Amino acid sequence: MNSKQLVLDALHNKEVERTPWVPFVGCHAASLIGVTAEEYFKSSDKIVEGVTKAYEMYRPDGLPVLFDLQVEAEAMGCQLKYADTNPPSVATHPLEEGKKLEDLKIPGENDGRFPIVLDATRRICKALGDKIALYGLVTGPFTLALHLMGTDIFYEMIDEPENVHKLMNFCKDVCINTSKMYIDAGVDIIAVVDPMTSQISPDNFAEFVSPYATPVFDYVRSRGKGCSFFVCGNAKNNIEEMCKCGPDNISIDENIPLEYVKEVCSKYGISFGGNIKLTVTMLFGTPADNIADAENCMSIGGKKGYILSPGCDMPFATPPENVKAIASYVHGEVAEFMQSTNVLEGIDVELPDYENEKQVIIDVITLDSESCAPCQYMMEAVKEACADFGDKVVYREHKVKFKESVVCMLKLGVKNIPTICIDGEIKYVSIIPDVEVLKKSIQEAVDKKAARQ
Amino acid sequence: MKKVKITLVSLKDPCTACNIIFGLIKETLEKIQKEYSNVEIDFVELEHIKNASEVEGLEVEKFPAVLVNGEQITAGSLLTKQQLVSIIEMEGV
Repeated sequence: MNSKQLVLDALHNKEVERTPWVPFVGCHAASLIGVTAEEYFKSSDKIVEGVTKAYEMYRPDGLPVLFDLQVEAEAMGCQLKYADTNPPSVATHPLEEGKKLEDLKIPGENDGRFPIVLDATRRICKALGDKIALYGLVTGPFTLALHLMGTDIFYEMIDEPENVHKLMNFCKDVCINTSKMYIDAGVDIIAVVDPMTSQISPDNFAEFVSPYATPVFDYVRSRGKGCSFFVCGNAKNNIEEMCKCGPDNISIDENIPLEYVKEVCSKYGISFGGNIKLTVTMLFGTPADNIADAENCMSIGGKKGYILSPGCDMPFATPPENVKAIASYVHGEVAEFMQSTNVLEGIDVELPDYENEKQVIIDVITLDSESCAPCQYMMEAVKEACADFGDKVVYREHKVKFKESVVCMLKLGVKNIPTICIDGEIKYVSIIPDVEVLKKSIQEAVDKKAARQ
Repeated sequence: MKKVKITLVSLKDPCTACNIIFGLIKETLEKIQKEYSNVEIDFVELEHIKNASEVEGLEVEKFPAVLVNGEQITAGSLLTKQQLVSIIEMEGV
């Protein structure tokens, strides 16, 4: 199955053979091609170059064509402040400065930076559209309303709710038109990104967001495309309301436990994605931290209706090695990745002569059973299964955070973690066996050894 | 009125959502400063999350964070002008 189909199947809540991987490369792409974020966001050539570079480096199954939640706002008169290492930020709010809602018009293909963005989208879709799933990101109606009105929107929600409804209805029309432009340009999935909804209660969400987000998803679906609802921040209380809006998928950041989102989304038959930690892991962590985070997410997400992705757009300065480490884990090539980084030079480990050893040797390759939940469960299963065999069996944990363990992993031919090898043979890959099943496998190895001796 | 010191702490490389919240809080603070002469505003940009301990009073490492007179009042969430004004009027007495 190709990468694009993998994402689309997971998005539509189907079982897939491998977890799809969608790194949210936004302004980070600028750093990959050595330009500032401002240069990047203002040039279709740079956007195409950056996304292509991310595709080559990170081996994703899907990518956003752009991650900039200010495009629509700018096209409607909000002044932006551009930065070297961040996405631009909105500096003025037209409705706060005396403009009336009737003065605003729905931006089209020729407004603001849309000519640049749509040109880049068409070119990216042409070059990569048959390989990976491409996301068009639309500023969600509430975030857009906040851009247009500023924080006064929170008072208006109490004092003049009708005004907010009118504004939200207008923003809904903007979202639908922006979705249309992205779909016409060739994207596969529309993501409605509404991070500012994390600042309101479920009641306010139901009143002010749901009636305007739902028609956007209905429109996208009527065009035969996939749709996702992205939120950042502590929006745990709003997940259920988000599901009720009817997207195919919900994507969240590290502020919300992935287990919780899985539970709520499964009630509604909706797929979900996230939530590799952006700052602690991706920006400041090590490659091993990133592998561990991805593994934890994937163990929770499972292979039905889950897309592995960062919690939001990746920071500009995210070390590429960290993202490559996640890609290596997704593709089952952790050991090769560690080898390619040259950190294993001069490290050698001699494997036992399994056949001639007196004891059956069980090698368990983990990230670290003290910090990684699947690794912990696998080690517990091994300990329990081995207990009945006394000194006939010995088990060893190889934590790949240590270089020697990676060399051992390479020599054993192990691709994924956690993995159990019995007498040098790979037996259980990323699956925690039932203790009785594991005991049976160990017994077979013990019997085999006894017959030889 | 007594002096009120407001510190807005952000990470050098925020995500989009944090960037939007930071921009809105900064904007609100700048408006408030024009109306309240006793308000002093300090913007702190952290290069690394490890440096968070250098900001006195910062206890929850979620950004942007607002501290009023060294006491953290938000972590990653938005503050409206009205909320800030009430805090300033209370602290400034």
